[in-house]
Amino acid sequence: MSKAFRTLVKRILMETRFFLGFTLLALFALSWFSIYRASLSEGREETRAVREMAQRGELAKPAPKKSAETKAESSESEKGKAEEADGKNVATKKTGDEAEKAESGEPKKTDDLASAKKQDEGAPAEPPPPPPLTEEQRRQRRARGFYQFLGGPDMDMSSGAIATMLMYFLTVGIPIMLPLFWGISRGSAAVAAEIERGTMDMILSRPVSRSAYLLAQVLTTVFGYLMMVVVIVAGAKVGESFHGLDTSPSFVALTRPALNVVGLGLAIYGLTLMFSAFDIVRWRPNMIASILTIAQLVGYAVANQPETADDSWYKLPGKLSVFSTFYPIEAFVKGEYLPRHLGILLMVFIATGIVALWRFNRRDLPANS
Amino acid sequence: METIIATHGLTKQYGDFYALRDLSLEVHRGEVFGLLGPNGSGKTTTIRTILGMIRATSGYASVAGLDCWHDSLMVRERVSYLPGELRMFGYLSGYQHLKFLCELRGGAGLERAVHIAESIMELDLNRKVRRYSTGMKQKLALAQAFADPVEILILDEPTSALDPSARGLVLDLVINARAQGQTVIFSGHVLSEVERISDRVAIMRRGHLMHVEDMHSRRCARMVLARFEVDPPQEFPEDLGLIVRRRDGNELLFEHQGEIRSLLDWFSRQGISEMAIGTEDLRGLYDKYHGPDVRDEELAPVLEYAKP
Repeated sequence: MSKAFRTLVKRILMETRFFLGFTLLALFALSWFSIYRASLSEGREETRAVREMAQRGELAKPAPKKSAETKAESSESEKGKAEEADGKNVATKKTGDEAEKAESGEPKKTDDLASAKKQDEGAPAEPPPPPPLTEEQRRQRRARGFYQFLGGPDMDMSSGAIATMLMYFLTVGIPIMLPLFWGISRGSAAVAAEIERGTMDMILSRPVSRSAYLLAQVLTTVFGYLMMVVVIVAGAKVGESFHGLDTSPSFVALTRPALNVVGLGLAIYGLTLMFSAFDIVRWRPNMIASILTIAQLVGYAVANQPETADDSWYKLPGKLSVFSTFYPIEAFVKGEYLPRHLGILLMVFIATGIVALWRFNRRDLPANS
Repeated sequence: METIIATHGLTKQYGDFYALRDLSLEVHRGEVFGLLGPNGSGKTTTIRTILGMIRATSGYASVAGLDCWHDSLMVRERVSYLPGELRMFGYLSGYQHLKFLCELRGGAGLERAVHIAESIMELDLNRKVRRYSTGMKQKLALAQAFADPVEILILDEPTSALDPSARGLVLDLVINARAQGQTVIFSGHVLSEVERISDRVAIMRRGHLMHVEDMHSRRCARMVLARFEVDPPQEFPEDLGLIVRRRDGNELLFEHQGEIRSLLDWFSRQGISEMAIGTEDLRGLYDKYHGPDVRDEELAPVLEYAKP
C-alpha cells in the first residue's frame, strides 16, 4: 500500500470518526439491550417450562422457511438473535415471547403467534390447499392488504402496542437504519460531496489515480461495516456476561445476522456511490438513494403482508427489493439462506461499484471542484 | 528550445458552447509562460485539460511527451498545481495540511514547504486552516506549490487574494523557480505582473488562442513619439529598424528595435520639435483583443481561421 493511499484512508477515517464512532457505540448499546431484553423472558417460569417441553421433544421443530408465515418471522424483533442457537429453539422463543406478552398485557400479534403455536403444537398434517381465488376476491384482498398495511381500523394504540412498537424500533429499526445511514452518507461523500466542497481538485492534482482515490473511499466504508459486525457481536457477548442467558449463542450465530445487516448496508452504499460518481452535488445522490431504499422497503413490506402473501400481483416489488435478502432471524438460527443472500447483496455492491469506477474514471472534474 | 507542454487542436465543447477551440500552443522547458484573458476565455480549461481533469473533445495535450488524459498520473507526478479557487480541509492545521499534500506525493518537499510557509509567507502553521483568511490560505497553497519537487508549476491566478508585498514575494518565487530550471505556467489578470515575469505571453479570447508574444523582444523594443516641424518623410531608412505604428499629421509613433545612437543621430538631422522614448506595456497588446471597442466581428477573420 503506497504512502499516498494510506494518507487518503487516514484522512477519510479522520473526517468520519465522529459519525462512525457514534454509529458503533449505538450498535454496541442496542446489541447489549437486545440481550437484556431476551434475558427478561429467559428468566421466566413459562419460558423454562416451554424450553423443557422442547427438550423433551414435546414441541415440534419449526418447518423450514417456505411460506409467508415463515417470512413474517423476519419482521420479528432481533431480540430473538441472542435467544436460541438452533432451529429447534425457535419454537421455544416464540412461546416464551407469547407468555411474556400475555403476562405484561401486551397485545399479541395474532397471526404470527397463532402460526407459531400451530408449529409448536406440531400440526400432524398439512391443511388442504385453498381453492383458487376469483378476480373479485383478489381485488378485495389487495385493497384489504393496503388498508392493513396502513394500520387499518383494528390498529390498537394502547400503551402496550406503542411499547411493543418502540421495542421493535429500538431492537430492529435502528440497527438496520444505522448501517444504511453510513452507506448513504459515505456513498454521496465519496465523489459528489468532495466535488461540491471543492477539495477534489486539491487531491487529484497530486499524483493520485482516480481508481486509488475511489478504492480508498470504498475500503474505509467496508472497514466501518466490519467494525459494525464486531461491535454487534461484542455488544451481545458483553450483554450476556452481565445479564446471563440459559442458552449461550455462539459467536458464529451472532455474526451471521450482523453480516446480513452490513451486507444490506453495502448494497445501498454501492447504489449511492454509483449515483455519486455521476454527480457534482451531494443532496441528489443522497435523495435518490434514500427514495430508492424507502421504496424497496415499502415494496418488500407490501409483498409480505399476510393478505398479499399468495397474490402474484404483489410479488414483483418484493422480489425487486434488496430487503428480500434481509432475513436476520433465519441467519441467526440456521444461516441456511445467508450465503445466497450475502452473495446477492455483494453482487449488487460490486456491480454498482464497477459502474461508479467506470464513470468516475471517465468524467470531467468541473472547475473549482 | 525543448518543448515540455504541447497542445494541438485542443477543443473542449459543452453542448453548443466551446470552452476551448482548436488551441495549439507550445511551452518551452524552463520558461515562464503567461496566460492572459478575461474570465471565461479558456485559461482554466486549458490548465485542467493539461492536468487530466478534463477530457478534450478533440485534439490532444501532452506533457514531456505524455498524453495528458491517458497518462494523467505520470503527468501529475511532474506537475504542481495551484487552483484558482482554493478549498481546503478546514479541520486540519496549516502544518497538517502541508503534510497531507506532501504525503500524497510520497512525502517529498515537506521541509521546504514548511520553510516557505513560515519564513517567507510568515504563516502560523499551528492554526486551523478554517481560521485562515483567504490570503493566508493562498499563501499556504503557494508554499506547497513552490516546495513540490517537480518540473512544472501551474499557477492559476496565484496572486488574486494577496496583499502587494505578498504579490512581490510570489513573483520573486516564480523567478527563482525559473532560475532552478522549473517551467511555470502563470495565469492571471494583472498585466504588469504577467509582463514582469513572463518569457512569453498567450492572449486568449472565448476559447481561442489569439496571440503569443515573446516578451524578450518586446522588452528590447521601444516606442518613439516624434513631432516634426515640417512634413514628416514618407519613408525611413531600413537600417534604422523603425516601424510606423501611428501617423497623426506631423506626429508619428514608431516602434523601434536596434541601436539607439544611430536613431538619435538620424532624428537630430530631421528637425523635430518634440520627442519621447519609452517602452510599450502589455495593455496595448491586450486591448487589441479585449479593449472596450473590440467586437467579435472585427476579430472574425482570426476567429474563423482558428475554428476546428
